[in-house]
Order: sequence, then C-alpha cells, then structure tokens
Amino acid sequence: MNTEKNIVKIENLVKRYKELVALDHFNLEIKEGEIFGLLGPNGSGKTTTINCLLSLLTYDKGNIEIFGKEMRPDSYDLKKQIGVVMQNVAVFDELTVYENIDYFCGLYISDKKLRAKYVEEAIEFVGLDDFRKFYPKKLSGGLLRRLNIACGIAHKPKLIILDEPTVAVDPQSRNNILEGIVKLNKEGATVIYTSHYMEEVEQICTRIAIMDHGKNIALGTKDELKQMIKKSESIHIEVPMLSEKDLENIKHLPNAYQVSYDGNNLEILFSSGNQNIIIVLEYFKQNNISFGQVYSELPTLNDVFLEITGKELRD
Amino acid sequence: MIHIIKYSQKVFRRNKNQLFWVLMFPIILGVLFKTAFSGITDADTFSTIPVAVISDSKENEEVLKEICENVKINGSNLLKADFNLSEKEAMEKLEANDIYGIIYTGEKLSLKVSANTGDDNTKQSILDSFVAQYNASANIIKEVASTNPDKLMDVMAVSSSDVTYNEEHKFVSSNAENYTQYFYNLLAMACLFTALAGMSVAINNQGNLSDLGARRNITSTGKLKLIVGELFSVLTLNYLLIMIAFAFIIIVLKVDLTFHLPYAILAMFVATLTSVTYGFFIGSVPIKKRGVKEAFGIASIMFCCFLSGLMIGSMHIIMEEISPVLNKINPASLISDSLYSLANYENLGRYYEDITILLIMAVIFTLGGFLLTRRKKYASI
Repeated sequence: MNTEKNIVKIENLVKRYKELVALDHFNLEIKEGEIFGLLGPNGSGKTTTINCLLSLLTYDKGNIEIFGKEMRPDSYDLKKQIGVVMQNVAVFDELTVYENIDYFCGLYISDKKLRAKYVEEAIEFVGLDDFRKFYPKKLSGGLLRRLNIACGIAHKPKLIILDEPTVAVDPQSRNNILEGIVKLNKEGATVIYTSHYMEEVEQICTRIAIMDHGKNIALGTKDELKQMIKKSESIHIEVPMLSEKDLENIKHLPNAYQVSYDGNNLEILFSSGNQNIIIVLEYFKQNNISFGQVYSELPTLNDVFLEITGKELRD
Repeated sequence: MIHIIKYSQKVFRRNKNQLFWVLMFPIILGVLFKTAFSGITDADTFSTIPVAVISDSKENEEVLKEICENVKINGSNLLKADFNLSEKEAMEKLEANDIYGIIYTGEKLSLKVSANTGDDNTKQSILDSFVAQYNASANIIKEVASTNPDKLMDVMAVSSSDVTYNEEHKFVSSNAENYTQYFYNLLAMACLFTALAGMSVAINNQGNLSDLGARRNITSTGKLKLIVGELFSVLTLNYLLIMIAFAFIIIVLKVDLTFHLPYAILAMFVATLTSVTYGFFIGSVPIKKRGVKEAFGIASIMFCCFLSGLMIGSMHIIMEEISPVLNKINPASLISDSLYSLANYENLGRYYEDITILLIMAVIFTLGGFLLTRRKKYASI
C-alpha cells in the first residue's frame, strides 16, 4: 500500500508553553496509504503535534505541509480532505446520532443527496444503525466513541487523524474501532493514529514514531523499531531452587546478556537467537533443576521505549 | 448556511435550559407577580364606608346629607351614612363592625371609631381625614364669611372641588398601573437571558474553549459563516420565545402593558438583539474557563435587572438620582424604560432614545465579539 508520496510533512516544529517545550524540533513525514502511529506516554506531545498539524495551535518554529501545501487556518481546500476524530467526544447532546453525523458531514459536503448517502455509509461503518435516533446521552461510552468517529470520517476524507480514539472504551468496542480503521485504510485513506496503548499501535500501524518530551525518538515499522534494541527475547521460568553456580552458568548461555532471579522467578534476556528456550531447558535437564511454568516473550514497543528512555511507556 | 441555521435551531429548540430561562422563568415569575399584585389591587379597590350620623340639628343633618351624596371616589360614594339610628343603636353597630364610625354633628364634626379594627385601619383613617377636611373647610368659610363676604362664593367653589378629591391624570389613555413596571422589568430580564444563547454561540465556535469549537474549527466551513448562521438562529428563536412570553403576559395574565403594540414588539426585538450580542461578546472574551464566563454573564444580567428595579421597584428612580448615566447604559433599564415610555408618554422621543442606545450597544457588542473570535489559531487548547 505504501507509496513515496508525502501526505504530511512536518519540519523542525517547535512549540513552547511558556517554559515547557512541548515540541522540540519535531520532524515527521507520512506517506500516502500508511497507518501511521504516533506512540508516546501522556504529555509526550502527540496531541500538540496533531493540533499544530490542523492549524489549531500556534507554534514557535517550523513548517507544516499537508498534501504538499502549507497548512493554514484558512486552508479550507485542505481541510475538506481531512477528517479528525478528537480525543474528547465532541458532539451535540441535543442532536440524535443521525443528526450529529449529518451536521458534521454537512460542514464539508453541501450536496444533500451525496451527504445522505455518506451519512448512511458512516452509520453502517460504525455499526450505529440501531441507534440512529438515539441522543448521545443514551449511548454507552463505546457507542459514543463510535459516533465521534462517524462524525469525523463521514465526509470520506483522504487523510484521517485519530487522536486516542479508544480511551475509556471497552475491549469489544476497541476491537471494532481498530478493525474499522484498518478498513478505512484499505478503502484508500491515509491514517494518523495517536495512542499510548502500544498494543493498538502494534496491531494496526504500518509505521510508528515513538515520541517523548516533544521529540521523535524512534521511527520505523514495528520490526525495525524492535531491531533497534538489544533485547530480542525474554524467557521467564518458575524455579523454586537455584544455586549461585547455576545462576552464573545461565548468564553465560549463548546470547544471554541479562539474568535476574528473585528466589522463585528467573528472567533471562537474550540479544538474538531463535532457539534460546531449547538451550535453557536443555541446561535445566542436564543439571536436574526442577522448574514450573515457562514462557517466552518477544520484545514489545514498550521494551523499545524502555531501552531508549529508561522508563515505561505508561510511567 | 441553511444547513447551519437548520441544525443550530434544532440544538437551541431542544436546549431545555435555555427554554426555561427565556420562556418558562418569565412566565412563572409573571404569574407570581400577577397573583401578588392582584391581591394588592383587590385590597386597594375602594368600597363605600358605612357610618352612622348622630345629628344635633336638622340643618346640620341636611348639610351633611348633601355632602355625603356628592363626595365620591372612582364614581362611588365615599360614605353610606345612616341618619336614622339612635346613639345606642349606632354604638351597637359600631361594636359589631357593621359600621366603621359614628359622626357627630355640632359646632364641629366629631368622629368615634371602633378600637376593634384588626390590622386594617384604612377606612377609619379615611373617615378621620373626611371629618378633618370638613371642619377645616367649615372654619375657612366661616372666617371668610365674617371677614370677606364678597369672596365667599370663590372659597366655597374651591372647597367643593376639594371634597371631590384628586382625580388621577394620565399622560396617555392607557391603563398603566404602578405594578406594570415590574412586568416591564420582567420582560427586560427575559430579553437579557437570551445572552446565554449568544454566549454559547461564541464558546461553541472557539477551538480553545470547547471540544465542539475545536472540531468545527478544523472543518472546511469558515468560522464567520458558522457564527453568523448560529447568531441568526439564536436571535430569531429567542425573539419568538420572548414574544410568546409577552403574549402570555398580556393575553393570559391580562396585564395591560401598552397601547403601542407595534413599537413594543420592535423594542423587544432590539432588546433581544442587544442581549444576544452581549452574550456573544462575553463568550468571545479570551478567558478559557467557560464556567467563569457563564457565571459573569448571569451575575451581570441579574445586577442590571436589580438596578432597573426588578427586585426593588424604586431602584430605577434611586439610580436616576444617584447615577443617571448608569441607567442610560444599563440594558435592563433601557428595555423596561422603552416599554414604560410607550405606555406613559404620547411623545415617542424617550422610546426612540432608549432603542437607539440599545442598537448602538448591539453594534459595539457584535463588532467586539467578531474581533475577539476572529483569531484562528490558539496559543493553547
């Protein structure tokens, strides 16, 4: 799906809130057809980036281009091609589901017949057909999020920006939303997806930028990001008794670079190799070490973040 | 634009909070006012006072009879005098509260009233005034007759006109009563409450003040178009509500507010326009907390209404003495004064002055509001 055409280009963006530097010479290029993930802890600058991108926020320095044109508050031709799903639900309590979608769609599409078609498609897309006459206050949190999404995408934009659309959403609705985003992408939309949930970003994004303190600290596909760090696998074993000698020997197993033991649980980190668990279990068998549960973990984006910044994504 | 107007009207129509303040609150308050003031006017309705007259002579009795027949208030006789009772019978009737007093003729009139009068001494006071005035007039006539007999006829003419009591004179042929001032203030308050809708228009279109504002700021519809469309909706619908409240007061409550109906309708349109734009201006002021703006808006409306006399009827007059300029820039005072002047003056100069000031305020608020909302990017959200 990826092509080389840039949809979004952010160069050297700086945004300050008095003493706080929210965006620190931030750079980003997003290509047509991508589902681009902006991953970072709360306060890392994801929403500020989106708001600058949409010309809602002033910024101190830098350039922003969308579809190859400079983005300004009165760039209505560009705005027509952008759909935004904000972090907070922004709908009218006094309008029904159908009316809300029709209202926001009408701010982009003036043709009544086309709009009616688009609204129907948006309702179907988010699965709110049974709730079209409901007022937002009667909707659950998950359904309300779906309405929020429908209001942002009904006009069939080429670029869709979703700013943490799954916050406070139940797992079932979250899956529906994620599946929907992939579907939108398959239908031709480029997607920018911000989240602090690494699992979501890993699940749907084709390319990911990891942000911290307003900086882009890592950029690439999820595999490329994981290759940036030393850890390639961690093995966890329940071991009630382990001698100092055995612990020392395990540290010297091939590719093992860090071992920790708390008297019951053993964790071994490996930098490479794809048969590490067999090697470990073979050692246990040879030395008659009894053990319980064993499991292996591949590195996550949290590991990438942890290794680069020294802290957890959700710190 | 039609799309924006259509939906903002739907939003407004379904906003129960706004409907309450602009429509239901003035209607409820109007009913309460009407109930309270009806009690007062009922109490104030004059009824003839029954009295007994104990005469010392046929001559004095005839004079008093003639006076009793001629002294009237609002077309009714002041006194219903019984000349045929003995003093004992009169005392019994007085104690039974069948009569309010016993008038004794003689050198001077004298009066006996019952001590058992309850809380209302009005009729006893009227009797006392009547007797005092009779004696004063009689003294003057006697004095003039002895000193300047040639002027006796003139003095008697003056005295006889005095005893008919003062008649109420009105500037126009309306039936404006004192309590109608409260209804003018009530309508002014209802108009001013439309400012809340104007405030919502400003807040809901500012990206740094509301999520809805942020969402609409990033659409391909310009902010000016959104604001103009919504202000138009809010103005027309609020005006309709004000007209319903106005119609309720004059048709259902039967409060006679004015005989210049078209001018009153125009006054309330201008009042609604000024109020909506006032709210729009307050909503546009760059303060980020919505609650602060709403609290200020409501507090300023209530303060204006207080100064115009909604809570204390004489406040408008007090303000006129202390600071007449404040009355001229207080929209509540201007609205109620424009309605008052329609009901009480044939000349429309004062009405036009009030309306002109309100229109100037509307222009200032509108321009100020647009200047404050024209900013398209925000330093923080």
